[in-house]
Amino acid sequence: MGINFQNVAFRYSPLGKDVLQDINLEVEENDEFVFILGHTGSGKSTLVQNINALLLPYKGKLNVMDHQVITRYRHPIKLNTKLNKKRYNLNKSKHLFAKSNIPVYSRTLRNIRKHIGLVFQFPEYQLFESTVLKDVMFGPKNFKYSKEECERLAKEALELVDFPKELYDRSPFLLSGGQMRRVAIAGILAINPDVIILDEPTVGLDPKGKDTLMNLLVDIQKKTHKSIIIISHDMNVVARYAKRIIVMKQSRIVYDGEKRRLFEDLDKLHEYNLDLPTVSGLSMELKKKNLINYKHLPLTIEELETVIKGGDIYE
Amino acid sequence: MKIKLDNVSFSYNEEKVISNLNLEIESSSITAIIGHNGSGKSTLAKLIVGLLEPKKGTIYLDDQVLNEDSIKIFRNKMGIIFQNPDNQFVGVTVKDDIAFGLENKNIEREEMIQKIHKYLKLVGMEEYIEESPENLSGGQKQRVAIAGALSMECELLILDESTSMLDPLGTKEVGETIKKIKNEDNKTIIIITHDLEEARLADRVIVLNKGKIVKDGTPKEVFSDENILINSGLKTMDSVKIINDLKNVDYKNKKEIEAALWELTFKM
Repeated sequence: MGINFQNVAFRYSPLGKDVLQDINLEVEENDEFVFILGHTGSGKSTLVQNINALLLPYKGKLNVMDHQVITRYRHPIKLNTKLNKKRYNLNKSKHLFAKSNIPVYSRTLRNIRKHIGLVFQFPEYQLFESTVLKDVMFGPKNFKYSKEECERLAKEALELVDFPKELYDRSPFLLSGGQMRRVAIAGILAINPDVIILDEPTVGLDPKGKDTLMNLLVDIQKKTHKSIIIISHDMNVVARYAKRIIVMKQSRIVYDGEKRRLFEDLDKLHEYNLDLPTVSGLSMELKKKNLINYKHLPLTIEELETVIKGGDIYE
Repeated sequence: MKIKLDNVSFSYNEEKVISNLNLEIESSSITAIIGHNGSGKSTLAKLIVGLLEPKKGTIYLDDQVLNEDSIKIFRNKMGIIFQNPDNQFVGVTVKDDIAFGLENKNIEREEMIQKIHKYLKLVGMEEYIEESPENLSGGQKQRVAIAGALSMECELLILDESTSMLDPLGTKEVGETIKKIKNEDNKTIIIITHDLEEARLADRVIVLNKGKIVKDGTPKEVFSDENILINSGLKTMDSVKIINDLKNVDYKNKKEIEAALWELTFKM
């Protein structure tokens, strides 16, 4: 079922301005690798917080897996039960307005959060337990798994992020920045979410740490087929790893498509306040000096090297 | 301010972070200290400003030993900008934030106002003088922090990963500010970073790995040595990587492309 937004709007306070406006978006449950781009304050983080029901929309329809998130009914409704459909008269409701925007804490919201794993910016600041293993077990513990089950899930997750076994009992505060971030991601993977969302996962990491983390995410997707959604400002990372790009500007989605079409449209990039990947900038300068020629703008080092050697980039 | 580290070592508990380090930094220079997360570069900055004390060796500032007594004099001549812009804003407005340090120094009101305007203008933030911090972006907050440090007439300014939490626009803004103050006064500036784009603003680049200096040279010399950078958990600039990758390959306009890529390394 994946994630489906239909004309969703969100605002932080009832009389405030819309931080999300007219959002229509569909993300499949499997095999998507989506990057969300946009200027600071464009609504990216608010969008992903709506996906895992940390924030609830006040207008529109939002389905997350087989749950419909509706604030009006004060808890999300499971769509696939006949009783719920009858009780809430879902087939007849044309629009679903929330009476208030105060988040509702109910057990059913927990179900949504189990489907969506959200890794915040600088997640290493949220580590708190005395050992790495205990920290990763915290997520599943919240979802009422038995202690043995929590330990199994935590170990599986730590293995998935390629974390050395000999450090399981170490305090998370004695790890390097990159290791801490991997532990924090393992904490989310341990709840076995269907979709993983990461807010600026590479920010603050050194170049090696960045590559390691991005390759790890690609690897996790290959192994698990889970969809991964990443918020990023780093165009070099986006150019290398994105399959699909969503751009947000002033609370709206203004672009949803593949990366090359976006990066080759300089007017649009300028309009969205986005930078070019470094390699694309270099390519344009070399072309301006009549030193190279290309049909498609190189986005990665390998592509520019191909062009310099006289080759073509094939779609 | 002239800096000299003589055989300095430092460890947290048993873990050695800085190991027998010898380093001299000339006054009025811009030096970038680069290295991966955990290479010891922030520890080095804290040692220089006296926030940490070496376990072994001596630090000299302007040829004077840095110790408990001399630190009181030197503190007034140092400014350090940290990673998180939200952690260093103390005032309720931009003006108050800069005034905080000046008030502590008992500067006269007239002179204080003059300094606030002068340094906010220098970092391009004069129009935000009455703004409160929540209305500023990360890059703007860092620029205010830089103005605050400069207003104290510091002789040494250390930027410790000051752009690593910023978006590309904020990073650009801070970079532009460094370029401006580079030409202003005779300050010694140390840029601690793992971002080579930031390091290229310096006259000299030092690569730190496991608490030791593994390379010391001009940006061009350091960026060309890809092996050292990779072994130190870093990556060279894309333009230099392309030059290195294609070193043994023949292609059209090779000389011109190499020259253009070098030029762009420091221009873009």
